Amino acid sequence: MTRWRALPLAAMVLAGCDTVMTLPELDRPVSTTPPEVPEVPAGFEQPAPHARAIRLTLAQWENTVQDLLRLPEPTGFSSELPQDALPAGFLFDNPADTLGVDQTQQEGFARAAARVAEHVVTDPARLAAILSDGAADTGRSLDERGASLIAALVPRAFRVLPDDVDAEDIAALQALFVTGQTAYDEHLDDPFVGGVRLLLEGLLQSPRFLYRFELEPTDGQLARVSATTMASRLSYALWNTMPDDALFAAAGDGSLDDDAGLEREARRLLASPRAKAQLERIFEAVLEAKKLDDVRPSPELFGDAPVDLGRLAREENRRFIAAILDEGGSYTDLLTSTSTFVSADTAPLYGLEGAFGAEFVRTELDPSTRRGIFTHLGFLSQFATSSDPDPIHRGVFLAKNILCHPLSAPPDAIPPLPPAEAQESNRQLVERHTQQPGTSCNACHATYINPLGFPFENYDAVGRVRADDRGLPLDTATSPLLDEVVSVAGAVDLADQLAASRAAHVCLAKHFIEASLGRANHLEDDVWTARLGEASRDGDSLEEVLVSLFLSPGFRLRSPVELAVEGQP
Amino acid sequence: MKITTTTTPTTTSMQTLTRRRVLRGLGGVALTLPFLEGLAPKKARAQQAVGDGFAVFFRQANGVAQQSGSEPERFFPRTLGALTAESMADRAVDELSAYRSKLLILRNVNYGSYNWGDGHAAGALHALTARPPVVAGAGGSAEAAGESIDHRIGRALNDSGRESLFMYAGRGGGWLNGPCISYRAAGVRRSALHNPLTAYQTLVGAAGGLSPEATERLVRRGQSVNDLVRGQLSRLMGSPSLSQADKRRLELHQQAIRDVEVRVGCRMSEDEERLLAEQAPGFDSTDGDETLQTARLHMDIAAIAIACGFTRSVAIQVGVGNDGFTRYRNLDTGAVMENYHFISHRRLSHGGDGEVIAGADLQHHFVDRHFGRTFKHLLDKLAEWPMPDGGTLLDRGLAIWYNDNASGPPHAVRNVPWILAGGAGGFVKTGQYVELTPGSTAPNHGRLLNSIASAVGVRKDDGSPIDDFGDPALNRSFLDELRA
Repeated sequence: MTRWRALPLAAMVLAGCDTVMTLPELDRPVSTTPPEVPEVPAGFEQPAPHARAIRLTLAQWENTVQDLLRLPEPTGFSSELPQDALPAGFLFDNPADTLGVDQTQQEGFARAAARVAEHVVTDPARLAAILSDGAADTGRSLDERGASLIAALVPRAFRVLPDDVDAEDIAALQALFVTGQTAYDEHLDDPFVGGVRLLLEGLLQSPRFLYRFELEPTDGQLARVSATTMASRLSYALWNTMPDDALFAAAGDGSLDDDAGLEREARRLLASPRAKAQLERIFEAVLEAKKLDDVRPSPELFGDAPVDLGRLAREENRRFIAAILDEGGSYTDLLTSTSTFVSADTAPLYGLEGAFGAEFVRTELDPSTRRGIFTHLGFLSQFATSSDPDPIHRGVFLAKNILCHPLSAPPDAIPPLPPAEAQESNRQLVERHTQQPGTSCNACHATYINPLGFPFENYDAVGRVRADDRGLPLDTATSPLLDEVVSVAGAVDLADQLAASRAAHVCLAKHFIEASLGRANHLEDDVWTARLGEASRDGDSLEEVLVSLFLSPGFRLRSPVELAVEGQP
Repeated sequence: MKITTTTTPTTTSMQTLTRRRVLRGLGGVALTLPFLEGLAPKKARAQQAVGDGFAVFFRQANGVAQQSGSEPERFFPRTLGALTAESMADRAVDELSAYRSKLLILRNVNYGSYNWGDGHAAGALHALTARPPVVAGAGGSAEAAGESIDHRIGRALNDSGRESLFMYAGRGGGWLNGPCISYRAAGVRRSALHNPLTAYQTLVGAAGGLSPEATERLVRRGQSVNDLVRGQLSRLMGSPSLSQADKRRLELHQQAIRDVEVRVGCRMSEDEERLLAEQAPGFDSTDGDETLQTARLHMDIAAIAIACGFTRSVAIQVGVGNDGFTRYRNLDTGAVMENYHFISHRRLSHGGDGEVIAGADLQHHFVDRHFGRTFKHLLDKLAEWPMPDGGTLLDRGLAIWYNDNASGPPHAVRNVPWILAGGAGGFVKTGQYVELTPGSTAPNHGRLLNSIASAVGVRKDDGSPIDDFGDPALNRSFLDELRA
């Protein structure tokens, strides 16, 4: 039997082939001994180096606690956990190679574990919800009841199959249950409850709960991840929480090991509102929607704009993305749809008349001026000053987040835009300031940035269509770099050309991979992202792109290459 | 198993809902509240708990309204030398006039010159590290290539491996991704305590008030859980499937596990705890008043943390990398101004475009005064603790108000404001406005950080000042201009 081997970096860089590697059919694996997998030829998709101890994000901690303990609603205790130190430049909250547990966090997790344990055992209904039949049977001995609870709870807490729980861990947890029986003043008359409480405190502080471990041996070779690892990867990618019972069952019966079983589970999860919510969060991160909270148009210039424009625009964004997902839409739909959600507050900004109420309703917009999410109020007001459209930051955002063009940072001490001269438009002012031939500014602004921002000069700082630019004719025609330099007439044209470009769809695939695996893109991902991007460009729905992602070698295998160690203690 | 107590726990039935709420979850128990240690004589507490020097770093972003181009000087004193009422009048530092005799205001603090790709990164990531970026020119994605001085001081001076406190006030996310001034190592940022309530809970640990039997049970629970966690981590770190990077993170986790500590002496008074519970929820705000009130709560916690021996190093960050979310109040009109970053640019923009904000330098001055008043709160808190020698806790260490940048436009890093208060037990001169390395614009900030650490007690084995912190390519020797 052959194995897939890690390829030298050079081979991966040079690989430009779009060929798709189909995973071989495998016998049902034993979780501790992954099956051998065949050799991967150069140019094929393969996994990139990846953390193997992956700490839960704070949101994942909250969701996992709720699901593990079958609570009807979140505890909310994650809000009391110290915020993670997130590296600058990564869009999502789950950089697996960064998240750890320092003193502050360890104490926070300990406090939160204690809060959760108290929350559960002091409420009879909550306590009953976690008890197995054996644990609930008061006719049994304390030891038997504790063992039953541990057998039922621990595999789920550690996200492994029952047979895979380490015997030493079981023994340590049983000891914890015993200690707990006499360790709380308030439970001295009910030692079982005390035992459960300390067991929960310990479980929730256990590294096997706080981290997802992917310990499949690689032996210098590519290795297929175990069924339980796959279940967790899938569940956290789509639901941001631990696998549910059905997914655990699929991991246990081997159905995650073949394409059909994995696809079935992926589609089941995708059909849930939890997946929709997760995808909305991913798009919120890509769109940097949090910045909308800071939108404050000048009251002097835009006195008729809603004072909470940012909040309204964020809600519009959220509903628009949700609708695309609900309808099985594609990324092209997101980029080119001529509809959005409008309320009475935002209708005037779209130039709409009619009976709009406080509720947002799906509304067709004028296709000659509005096309796709970047012609909506969110993007346009988010990247604007209080008074003017901001073509520079619109361009930077599109270049970095939508096309994944690697822009270098601007030099220090950039002089501000000078005042506009008489008879000088906003565009002319920006061009004068940033596109002087021979300057360092010109290199990026003329090619990468400004041509992506100028097409939106027909919208003002609150996203309304405008007729002129400081009394001068609008000029929205530019030549941005997409896959190549193209000519666009304006924002609507740019939306179509973005949707037709390879770069935008490959960039989407990169974001999906980053968000799903919690790591930045690597060169090894290029073949993978090219294929997913091409499928997206061809019209595959967002859901289909994700299913394809999960069925890919990059998601189902792990690299033998270690992550680089950043920094020294 | 170690149990640290600074006051003998006593029991009482005195409880309030607020106090219970503040302390909920400590040690996993609904604590029986002790006699109010906060009402105990402070002198007694200070005598018992205070060690040697300490440092508290209070960070402001975006420079100050100092003389720049056509803008007048609104920050620094008028003349070098002894600080006087006249020299400080009408300048932002006037907010600290009550502590004039305890201040050392520095001029000509110059950061290292590196390609950060961003003026904010050049200050926020560099000011406490004195290091270049990990990757040159990374701009908003930059990280500092070394440990920060607050962490170093904590590592050197704190007992039992306790890390320094790092607290954050204001909205998270944004430019440089929220808390960004404190580093454990190159490229490794530290998580910050954001909610003051959480910071306080971290400080008080298991705050006591339990009977000896209950305390024993609490300790036993903590020990049992820690045993479980340590055992699992040890076994996991032995796995050949983990990378070195994974193991490093697990090692950090293992080092972070601490035995149950009963820090009764670290409790606030009942009134302080009530205030904390009432005001802590405003910690994640864009409102300048709420944000600076959060910083004050952090300062309250910092002062008591130092007084009770919890830490000898604290860093408090206000706002994200460019403090671009926070809107402070106009001191003339009371109105909320534009976000601070816009004001620092003098334009309605995070970039170089946007409409000019009329009078923005004066508005920047108002922000400086807000920070000055907030820093004064820290000095007030530290000065509340009398010391046996007749001075106060403030005199024993250094409270430091520093900035990322020198001025608004263009966010340069020459003549960056650094104000030291307290004198570090007489080691550092006070009551002065001093120019460092006069006549030179060469970087001297690495020397400053080494000098600050040395002043508060971090020394070489032979007792001489350290000179090993920050970029080794730069001079890191002690600055004699600081010596009293």
